[in-house]
Amino acid sequence: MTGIIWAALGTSLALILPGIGSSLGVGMAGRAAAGVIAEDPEKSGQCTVLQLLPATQGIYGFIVAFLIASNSGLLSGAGSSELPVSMGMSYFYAALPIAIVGLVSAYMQSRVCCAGMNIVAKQGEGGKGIVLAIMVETYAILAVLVSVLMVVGVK
Amino acid sequence: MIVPMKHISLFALKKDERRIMKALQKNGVIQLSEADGANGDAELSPALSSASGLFKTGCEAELAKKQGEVTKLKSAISRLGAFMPKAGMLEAAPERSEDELVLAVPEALKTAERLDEIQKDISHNKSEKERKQALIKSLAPFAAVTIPLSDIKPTRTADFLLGTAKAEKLDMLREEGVSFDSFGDAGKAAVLAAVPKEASEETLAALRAAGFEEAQLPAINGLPAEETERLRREIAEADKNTEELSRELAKLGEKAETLKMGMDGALIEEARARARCELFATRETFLLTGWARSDEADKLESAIAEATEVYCLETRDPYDDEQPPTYCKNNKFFAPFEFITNMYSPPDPRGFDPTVVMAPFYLLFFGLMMGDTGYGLIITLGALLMLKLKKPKGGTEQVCRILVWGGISTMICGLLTGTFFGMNWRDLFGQGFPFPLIDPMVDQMTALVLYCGLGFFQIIAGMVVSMVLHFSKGDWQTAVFDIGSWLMIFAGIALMILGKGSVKYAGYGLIGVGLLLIIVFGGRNKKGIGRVTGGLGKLYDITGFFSDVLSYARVFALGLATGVMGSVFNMISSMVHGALKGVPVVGPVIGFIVAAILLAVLHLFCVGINALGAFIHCARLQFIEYYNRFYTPGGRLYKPLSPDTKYNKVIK
Repeated sequence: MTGIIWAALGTSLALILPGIGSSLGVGMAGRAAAGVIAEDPEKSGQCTVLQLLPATQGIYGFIVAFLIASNSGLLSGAGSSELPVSMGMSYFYAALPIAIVGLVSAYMQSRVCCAGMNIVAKQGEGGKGIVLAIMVETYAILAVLVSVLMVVGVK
Repeated sequence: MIVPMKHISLFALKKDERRIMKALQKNGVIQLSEADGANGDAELSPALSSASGLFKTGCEAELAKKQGEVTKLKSAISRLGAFMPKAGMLEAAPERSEDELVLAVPEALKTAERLDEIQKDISHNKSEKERKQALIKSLAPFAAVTIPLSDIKPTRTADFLLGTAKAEKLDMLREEGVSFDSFGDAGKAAVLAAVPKEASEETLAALRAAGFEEAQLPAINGLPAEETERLRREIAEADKNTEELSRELAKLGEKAETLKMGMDGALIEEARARARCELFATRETFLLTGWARSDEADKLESAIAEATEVYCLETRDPYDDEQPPTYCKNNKFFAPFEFITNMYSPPDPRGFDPTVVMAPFYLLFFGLMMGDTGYGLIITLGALLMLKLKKPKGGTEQVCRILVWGGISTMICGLLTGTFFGMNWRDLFGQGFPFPLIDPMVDQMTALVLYCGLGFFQIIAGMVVSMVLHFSKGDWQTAVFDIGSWLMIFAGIALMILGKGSVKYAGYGLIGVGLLLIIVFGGRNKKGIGRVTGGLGKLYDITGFFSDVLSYARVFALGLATGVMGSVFNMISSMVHGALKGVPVVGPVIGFIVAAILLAVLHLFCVGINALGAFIHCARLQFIEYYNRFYTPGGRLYKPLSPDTKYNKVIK
C-alpha cells in the first residue's frame, strides 16, 4: 500500500469508530432522556446535557480525522502520491488511540449517562450524574491528546 | 464562609399561628425541622410530649387540600399549554407581590374547573357521537320499514322477528311457507317475519337458510327512518356544541396569566401548609422548632414581632450530635461558584467553605480549556445578555454569572496560549506579534508541562489549605507529619533541580527530613509492626500525586481541541467559499453568504460543545484533584420557608 492509502485508512478509522460509539451512546442516552422528559418536561435541560456527553468522542475523532486528512495532503491532493509509506503508516497509527478508545468510552459513558437520568428523574438534579459520567471521558481525552500529538509530530 | 446556624424554638399563641407563619415565610428566615429530616429532632421524646401535653397539630387535611390545588393547577397549565401564548426565550418572569398571587388562586381554580368541565363535555360529545353513528349504521337496512318499530309486539299466538335477508332468497322463504313482509329491494332486504309462538325447528332452519339475520335493535319509537333523522340532528347539535366548547377552550388560553399566578399562589400556600404540619401544639399554644442563620437573628425576631407581641423565642447553638443545614455566605463575585461545589456536595456545616480558594483556579482552568479569545467574547456577551433580559434565578443565574467571568478568563488565556476564533494570532497580525506566549500546537511539551505544573500548584494549594485547617483545629500532628512532610519533599525536589552548590544540598536535606517524618510518624496511630508498615505505606501516596497531576493533561487536550476544532471549521468554510467563488456572476456573492452562515453556525456549535466540556471537566478537577486534599462534604443546603414560586418573581 502506498503512504496515502495508509493515511486515508487512518482518517476513516478516526472518524468511523468514535462515530459509531457516539451514535450508540447519544442514541441510548436519548431514549432514556425521553422517558424522563415524558414524565416531567421541565427536566429536559439537564437530560439534554446528559445526552450530549457521549457526543464528544465523535467530535474528537472528527478533529483527528480532519488533521490527518489535511496534514497528509488528502484534502488538497497536492503531493499525495509522494507521501512516503512510513509517514502514511504513522498517520494510521496516530488515528488508533482515539479510534478505539473513543468507541469504547463513548459507549461506556452513555451507560453511566442513562443511569444518571435516574438521578434526574428521582432527585430532580443532574449535577451528580454529570460528574459520574465525566469520569469515563477522561480516557477519551487522553486518547485524543495522544492522537493529535502524534499527527502533528509526523515528519 | 459558612454561616453558623442557630437552633430555634418558638412558643406562641395558637391564635397568632397563621400570622406568624406568614411573616416567617415572607421573610424567609427559618428552616423548620422536618419529622423525617436527618435529625428526627421534630419528634419530641415521648416523656416530654406527655409531660407538656404537646401533640402534633393535625393539619394534614389542609396540606392535602393545598397539594390537590397545586396538582389541579399544574395539570390545567400543562393541558392548556397548546393554547397559551408562548413565552419568549429571553423573557423575564413578571414581578408580583405574594398577596397578588394568593388572591389569584380562586380565580385560577375556577378556570381549571371550567377547563375540566369543557374537556369532559367534549369527550362526552365525542363518545355519544360514536355511539349514535353506530346506531345509524345498524338502522340503515331498515330505512324502508313503514311500521313504527314500537308497534311490533308479539300477539297471543305469534312472535315477530325483524331482521335482514338476501333479496334473492326471499322466494325461498315464501316456498317454505313463512309469512313475512319485506321492505326495500336492495341486495339486503329488511324482513319482518311472523312465526308461531311454538315455532317449529323447520321454520327457524328455513329462515336461517334464507340468510335471515335477526337484528339486535335498541328500543326505539317510531319509524327507523325518522329515528335516523333524529339521531343525525342530535349529532349535528353536539358537533356545534363541541365547536363552541373548543372555542371557549382556546379562549381559556388567555387566562394563562391567571393560572400561572394562581399556581404560584398555591405553591406558596402549600409550602406553608407543609411547614405547619411540623408544628407541635397544646390547647392554646404551639411550638415551632427549626434552624436559622446566626446573622439573621434580628431579622427573625422582627419577623415574629411583626405578627405578634406574645411569644417566647429561644436560640441556642447546635448540639454536637445535631446536623444543622449548611449556608455559605460569599460576596457577589464568589457566591455563584457555590453552585459548582453544590454539584458535588454542600460542605459539612462544621467544615470549611471552599468557594474562595476554588474560584480562582476554576476560572484559570476554564479559560485554558477554552483558550480562544473570540469564544470568550461570545460566552461573556451571551451570559450578560441572558442575565440582562431573562433575569434568571437560582442555578441558572449562578451559571450565567460564572460564565461571565469564565468568558473573560477565556479571552485572556486565548491571547496567552490560544487562538482567535480558531485562527492563529501570528497568522492574523504577522510573525512579529508577541502573542500567544506559548502555542500548544507548536510547543506541545512546554504547554503540557506548564498545565500539569499549574495543576501541581493547585494540589499544593489544596495541601496548604488542609494544613491551615488542621492547625486551626489544633491537630498539628496531621498538619506537620502527613502534609508538611510532603511539602518538604516537594520543596526539596525543587531546590535539587533548580539550585546550585550548597542550595542543592539543602534540597537533599529537606527531602531526607520529609521522608523521615513520613516513615517515622506516618503510622503513629498504630501499634507494633503496624507502626512501621503504616509509615512505609504512606510513602505509597506518591502515586496519588502523580495521577492527580497527570489528570491536568485534560486542560491541554481540551484547550487544543477547541483551537483545532475552530481552525477545522474555518478551513471547511473557506473550502466552501472557494468552491462557490468559481461559479460565474453570482458565485462570489452566494459563496460569501453561505460561508458566513456556515462560519456563524459552526463556531456557535463549537462554543457550545466546548463550553459544556470545559465547565464540567473544570468542575471535576476541583472535586477529585483539589477537594480530595482538604474538603469535608456531606452538608445539606439551608432551605428556609420562603415564597418559592415557578412563574413569577415575588417582591416583598
